[in-house]
Amino acid sequence: MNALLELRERLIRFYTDYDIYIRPLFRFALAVITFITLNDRIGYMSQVNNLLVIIILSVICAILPINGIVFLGTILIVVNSFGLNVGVGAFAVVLYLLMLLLYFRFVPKDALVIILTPVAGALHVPMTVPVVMGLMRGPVSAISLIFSVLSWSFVNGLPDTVEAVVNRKGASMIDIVQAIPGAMLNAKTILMLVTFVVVFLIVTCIRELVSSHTWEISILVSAIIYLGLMIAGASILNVKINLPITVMETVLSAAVALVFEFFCYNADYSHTEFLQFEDDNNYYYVKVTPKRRPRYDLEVEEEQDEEEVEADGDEKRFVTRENNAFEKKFDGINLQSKLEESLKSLNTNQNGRENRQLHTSENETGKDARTSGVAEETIRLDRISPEMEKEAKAGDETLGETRVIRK
Amino acid sequence: MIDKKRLYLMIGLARFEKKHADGSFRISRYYQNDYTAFALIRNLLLSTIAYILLLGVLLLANMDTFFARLNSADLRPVIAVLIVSYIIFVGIYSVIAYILARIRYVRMQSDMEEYERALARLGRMYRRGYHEESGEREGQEEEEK
Repeated sequence: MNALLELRERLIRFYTDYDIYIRPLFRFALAVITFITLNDRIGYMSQVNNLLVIIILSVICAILPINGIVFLGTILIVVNSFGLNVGVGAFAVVLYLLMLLLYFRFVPKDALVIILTPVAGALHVPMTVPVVMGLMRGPVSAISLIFSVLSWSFVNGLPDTVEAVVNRKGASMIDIVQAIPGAMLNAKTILMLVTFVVVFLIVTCIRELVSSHTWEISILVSAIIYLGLMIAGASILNVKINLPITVMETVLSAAVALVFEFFCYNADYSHTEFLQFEDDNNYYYVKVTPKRRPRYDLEVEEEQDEEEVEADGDEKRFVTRENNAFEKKFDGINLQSKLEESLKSLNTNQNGRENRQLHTSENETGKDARTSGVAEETIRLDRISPEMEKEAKAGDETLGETRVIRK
Repeated sequence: MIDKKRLYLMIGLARFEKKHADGSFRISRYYQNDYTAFALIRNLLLSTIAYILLLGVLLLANMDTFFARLNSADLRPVIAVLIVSYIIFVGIYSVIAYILARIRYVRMQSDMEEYERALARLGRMYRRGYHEESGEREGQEEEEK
């Protein structure tokens, strides 16, 4: 178990250092999986049912925010629907526009679920969606789940029912369009709706309990309830389900949810930030690297909560620094004067860690270099002296690095 | 020598600006009544479009029933139902849009108050630093004299 936790910490550290590359790669991978799965299910338009088109769309999704996948995924579904029939395409446009106008314009963060639910269904892990939503979002997101099930039933209904109507001889546009609501709003959709919402609400309730294993308990309980509801609902609503496949899907979904829980429970994925600002005298280029400490142990968290130093006034929001065990060693010592002494000694040392370069402007003559030249210095925040830095490397990380360029 | 306290405050302010560029800063450009009014106008337009689309879908699904009713002489009940349902539909969404706009504006106000307090504190730090520097320069000039 400790080896897994260490692996997770290493992955989080890796993510913090290279998140600029990892996040676009993640979006690219998610987009590729989504588009390939959708094309596999409803690939009626041969022009987009093409690996090159998928790669191009995925590259675009890597650059855009996460809702780019929602936008392009919806376009793909609509285009493939037009490939089946013009009426079906028009219905798809109306359906997704209605979803946007009725609900997702208020909660755009939940929009990803309307594309991921059909994908999860096609990959035989449908229960993952309500479980992960329950772990990450609040109870109001049950409405997002309802729309996601409707999206899934539309995508599923096209090859199962609507295609047969389209290929039937003598079928008019009205017959085709009227067949779609029938394909979407059937007993199986109602069963999935009820099951998803109940599982979601149960996960949300269990997650709020005070315990360090609430996420794992909620995943296991939701798996049992999902299976029970599917079997009971199938017999009540006369829906045909394949029991071995349903059990396998439940187990797979629970496994995926447990992997998600391993990476996301109590994990701080705050990433390195790059800031740039200026004042009258200097330009500042700041790289902020978050400090990391293991958070999986609740007792360690409680100890650290007791040690928190409360800042006052507006500092509370904007200047947050917590004294950890390392910093407590220096209580009562005037760190400012020690910093100045060490910087003075570094100035006379050619191999010092802080580099100060003085460039004089070629156009300015006869002026004092200090007032007219450009001086650049790099300040590593939280580093005090070479001796203290050796101790710092043992357990702590730097707050950040600021490059200051004097105007 | 860079003042670390001032630097931390500037970094905090820069992070706040980056995080809230699309949220609080955009909303703070409007008065509360203007922001709520814009939200309601936008909601009216989008709700009307959504109502028309929903009506179209219901119409397509129940086309036979609709055409049968259309053949009867009296259209007034149908029109009355349409108007009342439109008013109820837009009314519900207007209430939701109004509540959300007020909540966002109030949150923005508290965010911006803290931001402006911190900005004022930064300004005082700079003025203090300027006075100290100009005091030092005057002292140096007096020594040279």
